[in-house]
Amino acid sequence: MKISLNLAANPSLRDRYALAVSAPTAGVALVVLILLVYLTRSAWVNHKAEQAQIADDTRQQATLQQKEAELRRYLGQPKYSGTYREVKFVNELIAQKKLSVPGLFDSVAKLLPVDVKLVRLLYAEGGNGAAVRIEVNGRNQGALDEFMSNLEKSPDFADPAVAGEAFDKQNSSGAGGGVTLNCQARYLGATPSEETDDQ
Amino acid sequence: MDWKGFKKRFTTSGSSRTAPFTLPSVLLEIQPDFIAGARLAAVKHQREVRRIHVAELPAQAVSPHAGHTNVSNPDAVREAATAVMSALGNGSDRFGLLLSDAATRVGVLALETLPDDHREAEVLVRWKLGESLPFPAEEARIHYQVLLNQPGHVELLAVAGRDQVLGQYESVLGPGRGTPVLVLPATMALLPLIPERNDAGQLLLHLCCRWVTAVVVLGSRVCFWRTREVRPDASDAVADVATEAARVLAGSRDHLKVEMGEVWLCARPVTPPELEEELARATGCVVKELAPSPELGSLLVGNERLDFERYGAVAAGLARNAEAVGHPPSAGSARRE
Repeated sequence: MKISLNLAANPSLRDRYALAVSAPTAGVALVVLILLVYLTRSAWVNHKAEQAQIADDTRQQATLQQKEAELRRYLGQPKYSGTYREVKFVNELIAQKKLSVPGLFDSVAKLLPVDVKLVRLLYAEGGNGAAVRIEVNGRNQGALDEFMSNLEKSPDFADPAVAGEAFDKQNSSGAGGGVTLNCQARYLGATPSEETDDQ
Repeated sequence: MDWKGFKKRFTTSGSSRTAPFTLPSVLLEIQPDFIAGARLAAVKHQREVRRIHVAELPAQAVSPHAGHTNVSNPDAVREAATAVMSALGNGSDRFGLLLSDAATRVGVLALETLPDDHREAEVLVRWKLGESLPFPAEEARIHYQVLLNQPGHVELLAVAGRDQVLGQYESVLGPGRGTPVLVLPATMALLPLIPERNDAGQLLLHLCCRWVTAVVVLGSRVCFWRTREVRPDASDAVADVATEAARVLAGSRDHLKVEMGEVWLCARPVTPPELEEELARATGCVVKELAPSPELGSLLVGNERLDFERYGAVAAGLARNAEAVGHPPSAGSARRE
C-alpha cells in the first residue's frame, strides 16, 4: 500500500520565502536609504542657500530703510517743506482725481457760447473744495447770461455766483467793448464725456 | 479581503498544520540505538538508495515516548546525526525524518462520515484520535489518509505526534542546519514493501530497538496498528514479540474478522535468533522476512550493502512508495485516496 502521511510542520510563506526575499528586500532598502540620504542632503543644501538669501534680503531691507530715513530727514528740512506741501497737495488731488488742468479748461470751454471768450481762469484751494474764479468777456449781456446758465447747469461745477460785472469802453477805432463778467464756482471735477463713455 | 488568513499564512505555522507528503532525497532515521541515513536518487522514474550510513547512539540518548521528552542527550544525537549527514554528503537543507514508532501514535479510525471541509474534518479526527493520546490533543500534529470511503462508513489511517516531541527531533541537527520536510514513524515506511493481497490479511511485525509494532493489513488497507515495548534481553524479546503477534492475531480474528495469510517480520538491525520459528509457532502462519529489495540498492557495495540489508528497509520502503505515488501528492488528494 502506498502512504501519503506526513507529520512535518507545514512551513508558512514566511518560512518558505523569507530567506529568498531577504536579499532583494535588503537591496531595495539600501537603495531607498541612499535616495533618502541624497534627498536629505539636497534639502539641507537648499535650506542653507535660502537662509543665505533671506539674510541678504534682510540686510538689503535694512539698508533701504536707512536710506529712506536719511531721505526723510533731508526732505524734512525747512527749505523743502513748502515744496513738500505743494507736491503733497498736488499728489493728493491727483490721487483724488479732482484736478486735471486740461480737464478744467475743457469744462470751462464747453460752457462758453460763441460770443463769449475766456479772459482769466484762477484756481484756488478752498476749505470745502477747489474754488474756481472765471473771468469772461462777452459781446453783449445775452451771451453772458447764456454762459451763466450753462455754468449753473454744468455737472462739473457747483454753487456758481457772480462776483462782478463791468461794461468795457470802446477803443478809439470803435471796436471792442462788451461786458466783462467775474464769477466763481466750486469745481467738482470733469465728468466723463458721452464720447468717452461710448468708447 | 481575508487579512487574518493572509496574516496566518505569513506567520509561523501552528502545531496542527502538517505538510503534504513529499519524499526528499535524504532520509534520517533516529532510533534509540542508532541513527541511520540514506540518500535516494532517481533512476529511470524510480527511486533507489545510493548511499547509506549508520551511527550508533549511546544508551539512553533517545528514549522514545509520545508525550515526554525523547532526546536526553542532545549533543550525542547531534554529533551522530551530523556525522551521518556528512557521510551522505547532504548539500540540501531538506531531509526526511523517520522516528521510532513509540514517539508517535497511529490509529485506524472508523467514522460514519467525513466532512468535506478540510478544517472540520481535521477537528473531527483530532477529537477522535485525542481519546488515545497521552497528551492534550490540541498539542498534536495530525495527518490522516482515507483508507475506505463508503456511504455511512469511512476508515482513516491517522498519525499524530506531539509538537514538542517532534520539534526535539526536528532540531536535532541544530539551528539553521536544515528542516525536515517529511516526518513519519519508521513502520509507516515499511508498508509500501508489503505486497497487496486481498484473499487474506497480512501481519507486519516491526521490531526495532526494544519496540515492536504490529500492523494488520487487509488488501491495501491498514486495519490495526499497535506499538509495544519489549524486554531488552533477546530471549525475552522473542517471547514478547511472539506473544504480541499471537494477541494481535486473535484480536483480528475476533474483532476484525480477518484471517491472517502471512506474517511479515522486519527486525532491525538483526533478527533475534529463533524469532521466526517462535512466531511461526505462535501464529500458525508463514513468517517471511520483510527485507529491502536488492534492486533498490543495486549500487551499494561493501559495508553500505551490509548496512542496507540491516537498516535500509525503511528507506527502501519510501523509495518504493515514491514509485507507487509517482510524484508527491497534494494534501487534498492524500486525504481523499
